[in-house]
Amino acid sequence: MKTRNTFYDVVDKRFLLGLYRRINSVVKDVMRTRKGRFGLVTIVLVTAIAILAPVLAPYDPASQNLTARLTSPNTTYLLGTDSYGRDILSRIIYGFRISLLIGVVSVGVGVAIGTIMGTVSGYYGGWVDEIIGRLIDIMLAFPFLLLALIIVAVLGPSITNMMIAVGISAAPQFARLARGDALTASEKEFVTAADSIGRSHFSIIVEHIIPNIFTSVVVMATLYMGRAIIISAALSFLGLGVQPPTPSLGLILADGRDFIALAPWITIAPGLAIVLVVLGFNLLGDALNDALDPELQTGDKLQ
Amino acid sequence: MGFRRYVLKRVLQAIPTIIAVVTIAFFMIRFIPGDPVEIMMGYTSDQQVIESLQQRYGLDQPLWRQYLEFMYGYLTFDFGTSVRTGRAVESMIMARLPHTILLATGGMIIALLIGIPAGIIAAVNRDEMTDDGVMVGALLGVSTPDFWIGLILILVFAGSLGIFPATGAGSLNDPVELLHHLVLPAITLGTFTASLIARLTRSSMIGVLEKDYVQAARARGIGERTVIYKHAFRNASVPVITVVGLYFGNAIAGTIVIEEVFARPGVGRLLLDSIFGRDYPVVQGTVVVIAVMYITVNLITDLVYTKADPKITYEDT
Repeated sequence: MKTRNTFYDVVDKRFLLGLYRRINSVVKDVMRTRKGRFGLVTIVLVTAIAILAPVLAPYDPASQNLTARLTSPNTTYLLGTDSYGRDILSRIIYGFRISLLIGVVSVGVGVAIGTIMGTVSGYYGGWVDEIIGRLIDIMLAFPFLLLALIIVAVLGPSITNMMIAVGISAAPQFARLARGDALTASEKEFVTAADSIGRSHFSIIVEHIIPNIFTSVVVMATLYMGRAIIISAALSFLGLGVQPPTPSLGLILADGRDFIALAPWITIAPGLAIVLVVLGFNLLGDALNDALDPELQTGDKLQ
Repeated sequence: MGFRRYVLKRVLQAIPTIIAVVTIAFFMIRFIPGDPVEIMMGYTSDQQVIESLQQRYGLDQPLWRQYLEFMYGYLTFDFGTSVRTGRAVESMIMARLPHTILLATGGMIIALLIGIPAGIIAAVNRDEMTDDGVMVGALLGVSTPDFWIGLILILVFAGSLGIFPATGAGSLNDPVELLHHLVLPAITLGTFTASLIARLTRSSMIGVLEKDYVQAARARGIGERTVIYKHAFRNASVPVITVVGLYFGNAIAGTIVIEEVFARPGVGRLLLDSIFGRDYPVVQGTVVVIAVMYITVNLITDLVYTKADPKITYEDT
């Protein structure tokens, strides 16, 4: 019996229901631990702040009040102002938006490129695996930060280029993870069985391989959110990422650095804001890792 | 396969990787849109100037020739000349390399000095307040941007207290001055790694403390201190030592941002300055040097790991 393999045939209701149940039980497991609760609450809170930024921010993050430059925190400006008289609190609230955007997009790019590379490499094996494996090795020969720096230097500094650069730099890590998982999964009986009844490679990958690597990729993606946000803040701080006047947390720090002795509040608050976001993702990633313990994965949990 | 042959095999395996790194360095500037001479020199309408510059940098040659000459240059430790200073790139890098190595090493020493004791204390007092404290600290350590830690340290120790200098690295001939300048950057670089080492030491120690031989040592009436440090830690340290090498590799890349924060004249800062100054021969040289240091450290780690762990056979890599 040969099955057609359009996307909708492969991703059927049974699969979606299974996925829903799985996510539900994982969220319950995560909420059972202290770090899981704290992580999830932090991320929900930061996301809410980012979405509601226009409502929450007391001022326009770009509006300059030249009569109130470098004002220390007071009741009008809760976290003080920068050298242009812009409200730091409002800039941080909007900065959460930029940070989350950068995290989601760059990790998304990394997961997409890495998972495709790794799955194809691990599933097909042979010369495909040789070539992709070599490529992964070469990318891993550069430290994460250096690779991102090189790509940004070539593409030119901008927020889009930085997200691409950070995503590409993270890709080999996801590729390596997906490759190992795909290799293990491709040797399982249900894959050989599916192959023997004439299912196409595409439908086997989507139906059997992807669900099996899904959980470990999610855990790593969560943990990489934190790294991506820190690396992006560093690149923006160096002038190679987000460009002024966009309110990014890394850029506020770069501004603050010039006035560190005169106006330390510009430097202190945005740093704490980055710590909060990254801490949230790290806690959530740790909790997810515990909940989804890869060693206990038996292969067909998602089915 | 004997260990010696394994070493040889791994070293030979690293060579294509290094060639790939140099190749990427060669092509990276050619991916930048626009003519390299114009980008480096700014727009000039004088055709003669452009042509003489193209000739000087070999840009009038066919690509394959440029590539071979570039490769040959790197093979013979001739990285070309800086566009901005006119000096040899390799000597510019060599002059700055000691400061970078000093910082990476200093950061690792701080990381070990903080991370290992913290991990042991946490494991011994498992599930108590001290353990929670160390683990929260470690979690904060991995969640904090290092360059921000640097800014805060400058604010407190260089600004308010005035104990340590905020910028510079001191003279290479004056060890005291070097150390004085190294303290804050090394702490900045080491915090992240210290947190990772603390977490790892803790989990490794917890595993070992439950082992029979530790219980047996206790039963024989050996003091708790000796049991912990001599019997338990000696075994728990194996997985820690193996990752220290990998962390050292990452610390080398970490120096780029830290050098910028503390205005240290290292290789990383040279890289950043040349990116902004569009001094591409220097960008290429620094990228290659940092990547090769990273590859070398990882290679050495791998070899030490293989030698130390009898469970690993030389075949599987």
